[in-house]
Amino acid sequence: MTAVAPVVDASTAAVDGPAGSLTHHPSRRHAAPMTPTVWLRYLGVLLVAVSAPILLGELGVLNDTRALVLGEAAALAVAALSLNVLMGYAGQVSLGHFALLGVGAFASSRLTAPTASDPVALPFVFGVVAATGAGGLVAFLLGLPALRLRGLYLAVVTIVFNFVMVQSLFQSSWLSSGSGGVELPRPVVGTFEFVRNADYLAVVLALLVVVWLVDANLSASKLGRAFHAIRADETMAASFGIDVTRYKLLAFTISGAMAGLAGALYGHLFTFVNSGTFDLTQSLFLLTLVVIGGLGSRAGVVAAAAMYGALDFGLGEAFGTDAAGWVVFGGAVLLMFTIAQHPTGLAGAWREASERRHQRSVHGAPAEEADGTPATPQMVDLPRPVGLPARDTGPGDGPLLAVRDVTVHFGGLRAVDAVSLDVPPRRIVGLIGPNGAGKTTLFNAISGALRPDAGTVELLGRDLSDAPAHVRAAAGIGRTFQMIGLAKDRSVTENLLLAQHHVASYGAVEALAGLGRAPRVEEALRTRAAEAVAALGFERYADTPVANLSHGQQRIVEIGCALVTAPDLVMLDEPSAGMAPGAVENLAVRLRDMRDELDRTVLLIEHNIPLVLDVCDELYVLANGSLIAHGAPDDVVARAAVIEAYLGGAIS
Amino acid sequence: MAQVLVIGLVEGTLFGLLAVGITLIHRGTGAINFALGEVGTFGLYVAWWLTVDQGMPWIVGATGAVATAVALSLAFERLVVRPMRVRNPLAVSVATVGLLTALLSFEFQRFGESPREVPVPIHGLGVRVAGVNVSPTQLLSLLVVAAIAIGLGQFLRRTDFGLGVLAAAQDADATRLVGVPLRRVTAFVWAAGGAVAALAALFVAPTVGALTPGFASTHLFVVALIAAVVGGLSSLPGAFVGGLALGVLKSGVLRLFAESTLPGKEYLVYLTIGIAVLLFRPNGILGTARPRSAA
Amino acid sequence: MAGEDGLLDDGGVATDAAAAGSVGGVGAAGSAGTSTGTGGNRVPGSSGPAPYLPGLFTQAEDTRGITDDEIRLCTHAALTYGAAFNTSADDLNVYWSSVNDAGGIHGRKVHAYYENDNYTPTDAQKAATACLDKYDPFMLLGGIGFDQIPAVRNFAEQRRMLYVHHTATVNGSAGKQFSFTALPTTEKMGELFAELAATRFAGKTVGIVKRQSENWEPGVEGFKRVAGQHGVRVVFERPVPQNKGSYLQDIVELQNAGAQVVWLWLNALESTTFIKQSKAQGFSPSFMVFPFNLTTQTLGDDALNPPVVGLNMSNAYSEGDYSGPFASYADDMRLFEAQYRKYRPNVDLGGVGGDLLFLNWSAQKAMHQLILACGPDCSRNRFIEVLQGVKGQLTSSACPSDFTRAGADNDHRGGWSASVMEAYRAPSGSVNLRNVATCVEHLL
Repeated sequence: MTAVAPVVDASTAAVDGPAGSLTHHPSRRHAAPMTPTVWLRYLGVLLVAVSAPILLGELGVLNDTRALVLGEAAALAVAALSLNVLMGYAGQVSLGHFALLGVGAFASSRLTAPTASDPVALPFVFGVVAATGAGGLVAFLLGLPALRLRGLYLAVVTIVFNFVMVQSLFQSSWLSSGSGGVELPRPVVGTFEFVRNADYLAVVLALLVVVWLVDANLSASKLGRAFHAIRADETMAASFGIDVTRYKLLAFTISGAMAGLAGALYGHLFTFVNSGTFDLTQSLFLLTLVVIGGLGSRAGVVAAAAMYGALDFGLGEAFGTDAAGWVVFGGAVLLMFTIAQHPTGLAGAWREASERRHQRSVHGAPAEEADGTPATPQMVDLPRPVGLPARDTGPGDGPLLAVRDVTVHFGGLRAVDAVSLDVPPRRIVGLIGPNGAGKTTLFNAISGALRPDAGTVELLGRDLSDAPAHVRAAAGIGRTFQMIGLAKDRSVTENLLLAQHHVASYGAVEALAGLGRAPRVEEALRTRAAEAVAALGFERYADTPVANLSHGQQRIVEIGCALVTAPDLVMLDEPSAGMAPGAVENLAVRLRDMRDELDRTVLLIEHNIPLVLDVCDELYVLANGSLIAHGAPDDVVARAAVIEAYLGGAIS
Repeated sequence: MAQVLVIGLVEGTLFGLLAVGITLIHRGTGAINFALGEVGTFGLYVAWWLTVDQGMPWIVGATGAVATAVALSLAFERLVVRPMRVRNPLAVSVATVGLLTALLSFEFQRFGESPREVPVPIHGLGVRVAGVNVSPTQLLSLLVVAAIAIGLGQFLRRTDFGLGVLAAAQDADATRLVGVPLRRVTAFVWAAGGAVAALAALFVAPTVGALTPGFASTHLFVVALIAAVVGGLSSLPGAFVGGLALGVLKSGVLRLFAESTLPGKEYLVYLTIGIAVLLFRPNGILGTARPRSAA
Repeated sequence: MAGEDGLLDDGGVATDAAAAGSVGGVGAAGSAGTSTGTGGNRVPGSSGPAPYLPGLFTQAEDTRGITDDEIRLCTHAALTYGAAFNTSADDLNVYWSSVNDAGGIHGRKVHAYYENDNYTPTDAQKAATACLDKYDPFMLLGGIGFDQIPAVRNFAEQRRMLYVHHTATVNGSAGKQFSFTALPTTEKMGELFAELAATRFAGKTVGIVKRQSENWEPGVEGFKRVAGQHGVRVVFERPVPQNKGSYLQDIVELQNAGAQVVWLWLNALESTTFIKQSKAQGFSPSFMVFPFNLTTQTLGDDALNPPVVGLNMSNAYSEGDYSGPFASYADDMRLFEAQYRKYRPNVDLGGVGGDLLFLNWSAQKAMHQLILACGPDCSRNRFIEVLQGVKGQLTSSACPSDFTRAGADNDHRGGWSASVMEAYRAPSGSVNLRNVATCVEHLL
């Protein structure tokens, strides 16, 4: 029997840091990379987007005023997509995005508009390219200081940035002509000048399609997955090899570049802009559109921009331009309501409505066997991934992992006190001890989730003591967390793709273009993920959101993710916690398989002593931050000191 | 030089006051109230209507301003924040952005961009300090700010309720342990923030001279926000001193670079300071250090 | 009210027969080569369409916005920006209402529309586009806005739209075929301000506070050029961004520099704020500004000690005061007040917006003469021809225009004079402005 799962609100994803995160429109299907059919479809849309306005303009249906409104809405749509990358994908709040549009507009004007001091006027294309570059560059520079910290700091920096640009730089004589603003001439192709608004609308729509395509590529690539992971849980993201700070910066830079482009489109539409065009109210309004449309949803934010355009125009026609100004007010009220009551915005509402219509349960059935017991995964023979170099570590080559004198302080408390341990290759080493002994802290010090105050960590002879978590992950450490470090609102397959982040060998540009190495590598990643799903025996749940699996199953998926890149060292933090006895037995078998069949090395924190006795080759015991015992499991467990540490007294 | 100090301190006390308001709300809820400045502007419009339009004395207008700001803040807390399904500080902060947008657009629609005259409490020339005229309004504002700063400080440190407020965002349990219901803390900080914003706007207005939509956000809030960051978003005295320092810094920069034609130089200064603090002293120059998080 | 209808007929709407004679100041200089002449006796529609007069516009474009029954005008202006008043189209159309009630011009009703440009160049584009799309007007008119007009000038050039606008810079006007203005240029205003300083404030030091904008700067350049020629000493010059808000720093430095006269090259709202803050600092130099009652009434007594002075492209207005300098155009003032009493009695002409409404009314009255002179066969090309022949005063409350001067583009430019004004206490008790010198081209 399959029970219908209760609707799990995606916002129950782990709250990260002191500020928390915003609820996002969760993506159901993992976006697929581009195939020739998809390319053709985009081309078709592009052709329509270009020809329709020109045609309608010729026919007189699309007069200048209407085309102006549509053009503005389309440029706003590009801006909304840009903010969506930052807020919707990467979960960072920017309150000054329109200032980035302004940067683009002024940059484009610099190149394309002739002035007394600079009579050279370059073609429109140069302006657009310059705008995109300038937007990206400025975002990069702003993000450098602000994104190293979690929380609202980017919001603070961007709101001040908006003021700076509007009150100061956009009015300076260097960038502009003071309050008079700058001119942005319409593009000219040969003798054809895009003076008529309908013609220019075609240009804007064409670029909107391009930006949409880039955005789609972004979501489907390792960048999209990385951004999402960062938004969900930064520590988890780092454990998969994602350089969190770098990716946040990347998100902001890409967002800034798109915003710059939107600014050029906007500016050339109106042909004259001044500093007031980009003031704070505009930035806030853009944020309103994006949240109402649905953070994380391309279609949602573009729809919101389109609806604004329609409302603005409609109200303006019916009641005059003053009435149209109330749209912004209405939007703000709607924003407050959205944040409070329906955080997934329009996109979320649409999704819920369509799922109700198809009478599909929102997230699929929970994973259960026919007799109601949770499914036990198989985890057989996960094959060695193609392309990864074989590691040649025979016995006697020295320890795989060497930890020396690691010490961690929390204020006055010594959580870990000069602990040293060795993990030989192809062994299962256990780490046990009473609660609060410092085991997880030690784990974190080894995996890089925190920096110890003293001590060294070497993996295969390589000193990783100063390396951040994502570097250690790429160096060959895979780990799990007590609280299940997965992207819970994503599917099993998506998580397996995410876990392969550090072997996804293609760059950001290739990701955005969907070209170069990206399609091939993505294909390889998907193949491997499918193999992993099969190995876990989870074919049925390949597309199920992890949040809908039982705790034990989530744990298995997590272990699968830790293994999927064949790391040299697998660190498991209480893997058997919350598992049914049958599952624990299975886990023991799988652990031994990992060591014997797959040549993995495992370091294990456990409270389940029978399991430890069963699988471990050696054992370390930690109590009050210090190592109190080390040796063969049976020996260690019998030692008085160990028993006392656990129970406070000897037992016979 | 003395002129720079006088001008800077006079403006700086108001920056400091609003920075305290921002920090107080952050201490109490963990969120940044981006609408705080504009709540003050809105109150100022009410004061304008009462005094300039309806001809009532300044004190009536001031009372109306403070009352409106407090009511607006409490209404926001009650109607938007409390019913939130997913309530974390980031979401609350974005909700305040909604409030800010709503207020700005409402003011644009209802009152238009035309600058309005602001009510002045005391007419007259005031005293001359170092070649700068300190008006009676500014003198009054110094007194009021001092009174609030001292009063608030005493209240927060000496009473159980105050201690509860200080602990709330970092350690909600501690607040409950002191016997203070979190709900009251939240209501208090939102209301206090609103009152402070209205007062700051009332006292800065005669110096700036013309009331337009976005008035307090442009001239007060953005500086106060940086001042609060200087205080690490946690230290109330730090925020206040930050406000004073930024006021003097603004005045100094404007004097030093008077010849340059770059407008709005002070905003560049604010941004630079903000970034510098975030880069080098993220817990604030005077802020309390937070314990290192165990990941 | 004696002769109310008489007032409306007096010097106002002309019947077809009296068209040529009653319009003063429209010279015959431009009418050579016209087949029907200005103010001909042909009644519209009576004997087929009028022959096409070649010119700037093609035959198809020539009669857009004008039919036998109406002529359409559209204006982009800051409807909500000024003076805490919200003007509506009805407030601004009193003159045309009266014209239309009397039968229109050559039987054509004048329909004037307005689109709000929010005092920004971006919205000015939107407003101009809306004007064209919604009303297909005969001509596009541009209200006050140094920063808006250059944007719309470009727009008009690209759309081939007849554009008649308020003051703008010479800079950027070169080669603009479709734009015309009957008002002096920005540069000229700056020069006149310098002449005012040299005459009224001879020997005193001057401080300049100017709007930071390429569209305003030419005025300052003109000022400094003339100031240098006449020994006016400039001790301080400071650019400020739009709506800076707090001018405390600038005021203190002006004091430190010892400026005895301060020229505020800013809009009326900014000037008002600046002067208020100066008084609060105990700084009371003589101020030269763009004079509007908004400023003087808001400042009250502060505008009198010493009196605020300035130069404007229009003439002063003070409700009900026809004495002294007002006498020369009191007839227009009385007509203006009578028409408002009839059509918009709730509007307070004695308030802060009164002079702006008078300025608008007066411009419309002048425009009336031009459209009248254009004749029953009026078309755009004919209108331009009429305009380019204007040399003289179109109505008593407007300064004389002269489009016949030599020089590049001077046939697109008709304003060469401005009026000097100073603040005074009007009989009604308000502090208003009155002319000190009316429509002068030079003060030196």
